[in-house]
Amino acid sequence: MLTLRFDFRLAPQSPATMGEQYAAALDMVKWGESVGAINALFCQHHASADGYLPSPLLLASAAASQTRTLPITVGALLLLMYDPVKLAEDIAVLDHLSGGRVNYIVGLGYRNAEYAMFGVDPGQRGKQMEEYLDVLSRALKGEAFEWRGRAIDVRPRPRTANAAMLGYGGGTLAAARRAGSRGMPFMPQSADPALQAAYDEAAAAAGNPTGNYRVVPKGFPTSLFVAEDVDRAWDEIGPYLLHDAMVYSEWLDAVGAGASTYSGAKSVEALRAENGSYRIVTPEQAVALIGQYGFLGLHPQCGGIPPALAWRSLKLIEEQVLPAVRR
Amino acid sequence: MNWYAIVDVLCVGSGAGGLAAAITAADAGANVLVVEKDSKVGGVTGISSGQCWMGGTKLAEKAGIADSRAETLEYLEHLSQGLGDPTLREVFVDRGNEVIEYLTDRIGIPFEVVEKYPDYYYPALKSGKAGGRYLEVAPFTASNLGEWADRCIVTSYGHHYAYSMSGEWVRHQDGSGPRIWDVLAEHVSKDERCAGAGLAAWLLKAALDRGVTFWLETPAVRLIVEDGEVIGATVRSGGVDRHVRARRGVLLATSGYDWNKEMVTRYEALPEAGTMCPPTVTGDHLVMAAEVGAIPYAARSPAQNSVFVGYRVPGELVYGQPSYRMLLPGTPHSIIVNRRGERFANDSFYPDVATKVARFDGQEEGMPNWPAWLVFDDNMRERYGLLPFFPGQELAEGMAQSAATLEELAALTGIDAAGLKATVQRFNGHCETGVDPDFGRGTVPWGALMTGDPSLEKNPNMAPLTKAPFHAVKLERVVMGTPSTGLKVDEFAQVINARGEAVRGLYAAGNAAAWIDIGGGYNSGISNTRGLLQGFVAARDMLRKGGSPSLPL
Repeated sequence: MLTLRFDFRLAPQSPATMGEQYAAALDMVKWGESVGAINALFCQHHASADGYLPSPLLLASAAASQTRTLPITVGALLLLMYDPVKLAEDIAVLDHLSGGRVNYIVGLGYRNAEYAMFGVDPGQRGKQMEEYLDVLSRALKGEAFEWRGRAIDVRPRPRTANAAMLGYGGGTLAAARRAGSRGMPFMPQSADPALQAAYDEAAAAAGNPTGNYRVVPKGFPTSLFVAEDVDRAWDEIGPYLLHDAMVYSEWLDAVGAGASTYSGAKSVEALRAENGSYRIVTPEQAVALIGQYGFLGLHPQCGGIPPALAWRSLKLIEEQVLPAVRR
Repeated sequence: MNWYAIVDVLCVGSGAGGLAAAITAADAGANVLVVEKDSKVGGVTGISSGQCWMGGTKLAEKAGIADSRAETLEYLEHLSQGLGDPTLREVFVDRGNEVIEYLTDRIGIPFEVVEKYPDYYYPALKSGKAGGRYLEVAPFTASNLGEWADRCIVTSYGHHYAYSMSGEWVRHQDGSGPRIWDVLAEHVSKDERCAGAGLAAWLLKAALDRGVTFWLETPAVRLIVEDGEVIGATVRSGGVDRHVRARRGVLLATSGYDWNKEMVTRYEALPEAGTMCPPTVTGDHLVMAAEVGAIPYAARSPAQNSVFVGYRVPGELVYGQPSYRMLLPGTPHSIIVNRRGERFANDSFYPDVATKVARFDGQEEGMPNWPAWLVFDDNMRERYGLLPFFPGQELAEGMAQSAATLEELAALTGIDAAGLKATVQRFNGHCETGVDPDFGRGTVPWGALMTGDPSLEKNPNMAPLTKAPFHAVKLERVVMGTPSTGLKVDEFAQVINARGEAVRGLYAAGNAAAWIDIGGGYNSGISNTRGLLQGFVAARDMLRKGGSPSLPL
């Protein structure tokens, strides 16, 4: 029905403080559980001037403490920015704390500033990912083993067996093959059938189930807002959405990553005209979108939208959208 | 569980229901697997006329045809004869329109109105229409399917079922278009698939374009259940059982049970019946769903009109089995009689024949109109033919009994000779005026369109039996994937178990679902529409239970 995403970008023009945003997000997670949301996602990036969340496990932990049943996802979990053994310990602890509700979509990352900050050699990142995935999954499976001369024995062992909380995400054939050959659920960054085919081929070759991916379709609005007066809403929150879009496109342009579900818009008008990932719709249109896709992708604080504005869309969804759809 | 594949939606069967669900779900990003027991995609939809019946459509409005939701519901209510559920009937009309619009506008399948194609019960019912409620797809050029063209079903009963459109037949009959044989030859030469073959091809193309996976020659054999919820199914490929996890649901769209003799005998009350459906149609849905507490529901009386009449064609093998063909009666120079040699129905309108052959007489403790025979003279054979034989061709040996006189024909068949002679004499007399005071032959526009000869001025369905030799073809009952009994479903096409509760994760569409929406009644084209809409609503309901955050960059 609803998914909630939080990354805590805070555009310079936002009147909100980061503390207010974190607190509001926890309220929104509680609200989400009360209205039947299916997932809350916490994202990760580093060294972003707008304060993008670098420590998603902390927020996931806080969210877990505020809720009882809501599934929580950390994605992309940029594995190379961690010591995989320490990360395994944190995941194991959070697994117990949350009652097994937190899962992870591991990703490689792409920003050189992040690699530099954590001493990752971008030329070796694929190899390092394989190594780190081995370590993380063995540790979470409760194995005792040796790695780089270190004796590893992660305790407590997680509640969730077989490291089943780990998935893999990415937008390349290599990512699809990595996930398939490891039998990890895959979250492709685009609805490209070639990624699915690559996953299936690698999975079948390794004797893993084919088809274990979750694809977000082309044209699905991933940052959706609902407003009765759409024009006014664009005036109010459009600049925040544009900030989010522009920083992402700057990051992607820097590494020449073209294929993106995100926008190349340089003005609010252009962003609105795209009618793409960032969308503001009426309650009736939101009901139709749920009919078509089964759920809405919400990103309530996108770009640093302050709480009062963010709640306006959420309340409208609660009052005028959810009552009109089957639960 | 050792999963062989994990998908969002598993469709069992690839007719209208399975394909509509697959398209709808895949269009919303779901990962869809369709398993098909046959070696080809398309199911019973693919061998059907491809007609989709629906009233009050935007397509009809665009064609300038006046119709409304209220009239459509009224027509269907009459068909229901008190056996239909009014809420589900509204779902049929409202969501049926929605799925047609979805497939046309969003998916790009070119449905069009078959103009001047009347409802069965026009003008018998005020709510019946002279045209505008039949929809069909434009021809599909098979090469657009690439390697899948050969894996998409085309009827095994001859080109005329798959390479001409209903609209082309109308224009052939009323003289406004080319002769049907010329049209057919052209479609065949270009491999332009029409009717059910065309509908299946359009749907398959749309599904493939959206990344739907198909496993052919792969029946589902058992549902996999966890805590009362269907979470997948075991399918059998090359003799190997494989477990498929379906995260959002399993759709049973396996048509009826035509080739399950016990089910046909018990549910249809028919000791013997043939079918034109592929031998894969064996009631698998009823078996699998029984294991999760669903029981078969009969939606109509077996006496109602969706069990057809037909005949055998000795020597003709279809699906490797002796063939049956359905008969649309009403060809000039022919009548249908019982063993007393009497006509007993409007024998130019199959629903009347199909219901009256099933009549049971309490005094005789028997069926007065069964067995029955199609009796015709040599004019019919020469001018109109009897499929698979074209006008002028000899019939297959043993297909008909033939004799120089009606008395001899009666002796050969066991029909009462005096009765037959009197009946033919009386019928021939009516042919002079073109008025059949006994059964109103030729008065139903649908029957006249289907089997009439418009060049006959007085009555398109009436011409006398005069030219020896005379022929009699013994009729058979023929089921067509249009069963009386199926799984009970709600407005979301969720299967309802014997306790009246929805089985989580399990859906049924098309002829696998009991016709509880419209109850007893039938008008051709309803089954395809029901398949499309139940597949569509099932997929939409399954989507509701999934959803996933998108991975940010």
